Amino acid sequence: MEVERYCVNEPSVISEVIDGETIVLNFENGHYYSFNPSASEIWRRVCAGSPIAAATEWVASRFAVDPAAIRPEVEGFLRRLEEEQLIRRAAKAVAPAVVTAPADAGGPVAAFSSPDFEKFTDMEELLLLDPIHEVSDSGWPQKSQ
Amino acid sequence: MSVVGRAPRVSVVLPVYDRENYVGEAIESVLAQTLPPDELIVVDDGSTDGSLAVVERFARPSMQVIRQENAGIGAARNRGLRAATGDLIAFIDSDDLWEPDKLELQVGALRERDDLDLVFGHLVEFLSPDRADELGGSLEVGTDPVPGLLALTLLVRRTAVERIGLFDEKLRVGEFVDWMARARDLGLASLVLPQIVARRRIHGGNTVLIRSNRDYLRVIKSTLDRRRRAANAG
Repeated sequence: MEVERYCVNEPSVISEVIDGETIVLNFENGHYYSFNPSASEIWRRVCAGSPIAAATEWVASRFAVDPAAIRPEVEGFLRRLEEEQLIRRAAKAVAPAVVTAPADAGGPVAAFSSPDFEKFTDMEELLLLDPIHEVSDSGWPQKSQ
Repeated sequence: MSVVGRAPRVSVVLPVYDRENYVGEAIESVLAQTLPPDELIVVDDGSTDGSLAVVERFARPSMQVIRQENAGIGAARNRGLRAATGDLIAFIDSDDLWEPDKLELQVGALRERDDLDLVFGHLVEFLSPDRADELGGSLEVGTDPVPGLLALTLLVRRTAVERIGLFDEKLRVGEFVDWMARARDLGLASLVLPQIVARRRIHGGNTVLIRSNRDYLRVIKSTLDRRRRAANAG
């Protein structure tokens, strides 16, 4: 069956764009990733709940390329993300995702290169052990910021 | 082998924030060491409960209590590090326990091997008895020993700390991951002893909230940036 959309594999996976770099961390195995520009754009749409077709349109418009030409690469990349357990298949019946034309896109962000990530496993045992300690309501709170 | 010569002095840093129920047991596990530390520095990070009173019950010449306004675990550990005078430094959190031979094993390892900078050990978890009824079914407790790469299980040479630097006080969680990543990037040598050296208390808390904490991503980003700078410079 063809996959129509994916969603981020929460709560195991968290991500953030920091200084323009998309960093993704999977707490289940302690692996972390740095995404290249086109991968970041795909990730952004997955986070927003976009169907694959809309995500492809978005990426194509961001890089001023033909959606049909990059669709196989987008799908291939999504399968890699699924293999890495960073995303999972989303039910079709989920509330319609907000699929917007890339109104905030401006011009092309960069020349298109195939979506890719660097994967790092060197801090696995540190990251796997660390998160257990609570810092929430009864220990090590910071002063209100 | 370098076991001959003066025995190294050992400092223990114990930060505490609002852990009146547990900090006494943590201190007892330090005082019960078969190789007692030369100094125990307790940093009270602005506790609002009875933690300080519990700590003061253990007052003795080898114990120093420092009070500061609440500033977070990184800042509290740093305060203790600045006060520490030992050649070797260990940390314990206020809710955790050391095994009685923790320091003896680790001091022995560092005295035997000059090339080692940091020595860890194995770790087990235990469900805090006071929360067992409430949390028994809901939390995973790792009763099998695992390599414990945590401040709790570490004994480190002062010379290594001087190279690694202090804990990042801006981080609310992940401060040890960040510190250890810096240690590795310096090429410092570490060893994980096969023995269990500490027991980590599991007493609830909101794991999901912690896991969503973005500080881990910041630690990763700064680690990647540091390595890229080093690669470009090299």
